[in-house]
Amino acid sequence: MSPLRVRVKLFASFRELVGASEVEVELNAEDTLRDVLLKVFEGACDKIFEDASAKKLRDYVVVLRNRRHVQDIFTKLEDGDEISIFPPASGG
Amino acid sequence: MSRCRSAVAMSEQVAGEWCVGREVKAGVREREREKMERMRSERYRRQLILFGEEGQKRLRSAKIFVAGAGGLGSASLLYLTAAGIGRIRIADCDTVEESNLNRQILHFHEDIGKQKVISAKEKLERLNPEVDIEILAESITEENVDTIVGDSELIVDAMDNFQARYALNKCAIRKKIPLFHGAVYGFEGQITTIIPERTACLRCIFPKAPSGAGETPVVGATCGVVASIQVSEVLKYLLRRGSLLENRMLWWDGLNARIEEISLRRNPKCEDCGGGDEGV
Repeated sequence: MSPLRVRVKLFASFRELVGASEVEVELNAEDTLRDVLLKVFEGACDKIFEDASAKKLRDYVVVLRNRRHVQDIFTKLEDGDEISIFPPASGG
Repeated sequence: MSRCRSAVAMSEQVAGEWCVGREVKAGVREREREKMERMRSERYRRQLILFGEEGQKRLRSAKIFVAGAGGLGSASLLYLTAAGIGRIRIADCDTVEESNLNRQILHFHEDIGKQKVISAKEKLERLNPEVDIEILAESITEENVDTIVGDSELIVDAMDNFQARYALNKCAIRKKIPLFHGAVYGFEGQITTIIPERTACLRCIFPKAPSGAGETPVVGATCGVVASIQVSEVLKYLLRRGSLLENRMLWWDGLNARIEEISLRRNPKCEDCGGGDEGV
């Protein structure tokens, strides 16, 4: 089976963290959103996950899948999915 | 008798002059009113083409609250005042600092040390003397927000922290008035329009505030972009025209000159608005 490809878009400080505004990730059919985030934020997972187990996102992190909020990070993804992840901008 | 006639004649003469005087004054007032109408028409001529007299009257009768006279507040206050909003109430507890001046365009170098609301009022009244500018040099808290917002029919979020934003969010929900949210980070910004009982509220979208460590980088022009969209939303709401950013968040990416649109939904477990029937 051919690998799946998803696009991850990053905003605000997450762009600086990852060093890119957009990343394409190749994953297997059984991979979940969590797996994608672990790959994208490798080395900086503590910024988005509550603890080392990486089972829960920090409360302020907003993740959208194809423009809709996702709360379950163990959601399986589909080829072509677009994931957006951002902390809220707070300046004014 | 002749003295009485003279007295009567004099009374009539005085009464007549008084009537003439009153007519003259009424005439002067009428001319002044016509002059004001002409000036008003001239001032707003370019938007009257779109809004019409009725639309302009709606703006003139509007009473709004702008939370903050900083980066977002400066830009939005200038455009709201220029548009002829009837009454604008501003709350900001800060004084002008030099580090504000790259983006807070209502404040000038000589205003350093002055309360921002005073600096803002001075400029806005010079821009448009027709607008009633009320100022409060206070910070916005859970305890005072309802009083500060008062009888305003909408709130413009020009804050720089989520604690105050959440207070405004709850106030908007309690008063059932719209909240026009905006925020910036560097070259980026976000804008959405929150209509209580209809859209996701701020807490639905952002259940928790960001950690907020360190200073937030802000480019002045980003404030201009975000605030301008907020003002457009306010005008559209007051004029009942166009489509608002309801359950839609615009994300402005200034570095790449792109706008992303993000769909939103209410959170059924939202601690602020209760969420209605929809899920986030």
